[in-house]
Amino acid sequence: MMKYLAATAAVLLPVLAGGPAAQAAPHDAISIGIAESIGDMNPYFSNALVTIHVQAAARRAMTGITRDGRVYCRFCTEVPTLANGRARIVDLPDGKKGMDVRYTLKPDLKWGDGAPFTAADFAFAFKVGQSMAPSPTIAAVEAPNPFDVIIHIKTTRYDFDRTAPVAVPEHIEGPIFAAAANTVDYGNHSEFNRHPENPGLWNGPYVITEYRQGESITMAPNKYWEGEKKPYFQKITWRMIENTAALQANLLSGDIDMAGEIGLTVDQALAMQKTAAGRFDIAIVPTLGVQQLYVKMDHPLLTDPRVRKAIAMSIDRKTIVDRLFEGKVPVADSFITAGEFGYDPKLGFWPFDPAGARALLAEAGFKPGADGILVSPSGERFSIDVSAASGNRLYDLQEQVMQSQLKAVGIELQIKNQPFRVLLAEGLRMRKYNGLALLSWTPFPDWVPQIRFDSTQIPTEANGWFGNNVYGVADPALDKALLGALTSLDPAPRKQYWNDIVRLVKEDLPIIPLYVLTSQIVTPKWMTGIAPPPLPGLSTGWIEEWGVK
Amino acid sequence: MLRFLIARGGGAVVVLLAKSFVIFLLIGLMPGDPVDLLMNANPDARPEDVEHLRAIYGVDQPVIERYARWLGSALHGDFGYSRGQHRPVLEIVLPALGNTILLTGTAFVLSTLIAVALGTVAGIRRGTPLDRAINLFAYAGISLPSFWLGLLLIYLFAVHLGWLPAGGMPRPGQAQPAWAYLVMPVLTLVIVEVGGLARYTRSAVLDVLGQDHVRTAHAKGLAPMRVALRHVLRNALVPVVTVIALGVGHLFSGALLVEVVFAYRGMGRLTLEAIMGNDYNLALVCLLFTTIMIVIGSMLADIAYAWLDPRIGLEGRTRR
Repeated sequence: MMKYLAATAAVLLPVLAGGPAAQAAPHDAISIGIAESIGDMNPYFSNALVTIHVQAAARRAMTGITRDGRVYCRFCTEVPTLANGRARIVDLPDGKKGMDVRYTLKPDLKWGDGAPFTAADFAFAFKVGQSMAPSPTIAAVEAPNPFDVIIHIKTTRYDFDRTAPVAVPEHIEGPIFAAAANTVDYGNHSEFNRHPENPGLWNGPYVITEYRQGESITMAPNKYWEGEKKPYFQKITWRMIENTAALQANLLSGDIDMAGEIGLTVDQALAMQKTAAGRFDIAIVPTLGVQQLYVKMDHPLLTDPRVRKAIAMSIDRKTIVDRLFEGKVPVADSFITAGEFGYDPKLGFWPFDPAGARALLAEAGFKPGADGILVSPSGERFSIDVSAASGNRLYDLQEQVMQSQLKAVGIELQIKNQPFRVLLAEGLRMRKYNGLALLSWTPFPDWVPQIRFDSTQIPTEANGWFGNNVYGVADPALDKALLGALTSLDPAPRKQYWNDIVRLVKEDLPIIPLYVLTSQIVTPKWMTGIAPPPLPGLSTGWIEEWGVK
Repeated sequence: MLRFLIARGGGAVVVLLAKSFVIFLLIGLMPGDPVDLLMNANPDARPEDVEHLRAIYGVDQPVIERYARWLGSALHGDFGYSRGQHRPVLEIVLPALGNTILLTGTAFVLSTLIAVALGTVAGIRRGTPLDRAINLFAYAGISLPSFWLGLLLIYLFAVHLGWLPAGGMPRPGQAQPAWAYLVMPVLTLVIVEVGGLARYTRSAVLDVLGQDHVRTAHAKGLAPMRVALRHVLRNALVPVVTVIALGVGHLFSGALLVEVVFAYRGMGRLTLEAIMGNDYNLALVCLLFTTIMIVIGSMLADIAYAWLDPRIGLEGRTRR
């Protein structure tokens, strides 16, 4: 359905986009369209990107990450380091090394209802999180006094300075949590879901003043916001318009002023750059996310690394980007993007080389069959599937391009898309996908992908299909590099571990990177201050900087 | 009448019980459970955490046991909480149902009135330019996909002319009056719905026009309008009511595509979200409400038959 909607919009847009100019907006208020509906408002039950995007305007963490990847204090006085003594390595009772990290809160912090915002709110947040899934990283969170938060970490970790949980207001949620029979019961009675317009739930620049489930969320400035920069807009309305073609129409009609990262697709933004650039600033900005092909490495036809390499060399990623995104999206050459701590520009990726791919397949014993499709040494026809979440026109197009490119080297690729929940539950988690899957993954800056590529993370029936290593990569050298990058505190060896990770993933090929994901942000010409962050969805982490020209 | 209502009511209860079980079973058979989705959002979760949550949500129990527990609560008026929104299901469903009734109810009444009028005129004026024009309009309506028509209307009335809001729900304090938000969704539904019903009415009118009692009425010198309304339309409406009654069920299941295009919060969107999000209780109650409405629509149709044609009794026996 969605592809027809998008196609219709693409046809209609050039004809009608030149309609009347949007009505002059009252520039102390702004209306923002989001292309997803927000369900659960309790941050411990939903970490959907759309929820994070909207709540970042009203809810902030102890620390933040700058656009260039540095950690900075939001509510604390100083970022913990080994040098300033706020972080220290400790001996654990089991003989291993752990860490204690101490944050000190700024004075006079308050929630949106004026209640004191203290260290106890962090300890309480940890308790809530533990009730759901005990942290594998943090052993305990202490609040010895209203200002100090001490995090006890189970190992040494490079990212110790960003381990504080996001605070939950104990003065509101504490009694509800205490009275709840279990975690789900707490979620059912949580004030986040019952009365999200309670200002005491929020500690960011804004508080929610009206919540209309599935329709809209309205915010007003938080009068207790401690930040130096006070928000400009006196009213922000988030409107949930799930269909992106309709969202685009709402922009053009002036019903909404802007669409942030949870808004238009790349092709829509490209179209708007041509037809509506006079009314809007339309930014298409690379993020840390990468669109990639997951490779089921233990698929009978894909176990030979030469075969996986041949597939990688058969896919012309630049053509995909040129044809679908007019070349305005960067081609990805790893599962991490340029500028990341572990990124190695010298390493690159396997080049597009169909002749080389054919030679590799021949070397692996594959011979052309009667219909031109290769046959494996064991006599199996080289036919595999590619699966993606159904209903996404861009995924369909990418699959079709790859289908034709792989056919050119003798590989039959059948497109078998599924609803996301089916793909997630059976295709990926139970590893039933038959060859390849097309998905995206967006990491935090310098995020070590241990849960993706470590051999202990392969879902199996024996472990209850637990784990994210749905590719089935099991490489001891990769395991070692992942552990080293995670636990090493010294940047030099960490860099080496990271280089090993990137190189081994390129050689093992559990994934084939395609292109860098982008954020599309459409803002009215009169607006200023919005700068896309590296992580999609988090432009609202700097919402207090938004204003008018 | 009382006997009819009791008999049909009893049948409806059986249908609802059977349907609730089938829906429960089907949702249970769909791949993925609520915990899968939850755990996908928490990469740090361990196998024992997954099992712990499955136990809390009760999805570790056999479907029959879960259904029995749900049914027991439902019979006491407790339809449970939405997994996705952590709010009581009825708190979510009732406003959406109200919105849907407003949208599809308005469209239903308008499209029925327009379709019956156009179909009757086309039948009586068979072969004239007016008949051909009505047929053309009907075919156009039938063949237009509602989402395409909706987008076209948005671009025309909201983007190009700026007369109407592009979508959304009416809220206090908005510049546009509340009715303005309904115009385009209702218009879309009416245009799409009118065509089929008008063609059906035209066909039924043509059948009746050829019958003896109509010729007799004309021979008696009755005014053409009186013949059309009292002798033709009344008889032609009996089969048309069946089609209209079937539409009552669709009224309450919502108009998914139109709701999506116009960002309208109705039962269609809610049901889809609940099913895709594996929100058992919510999906179940949404689908049951639709069933209830279809059953009620069917009962109303039976009553309408008896009113339109007294020879048809409420028990379905033809009186002589």
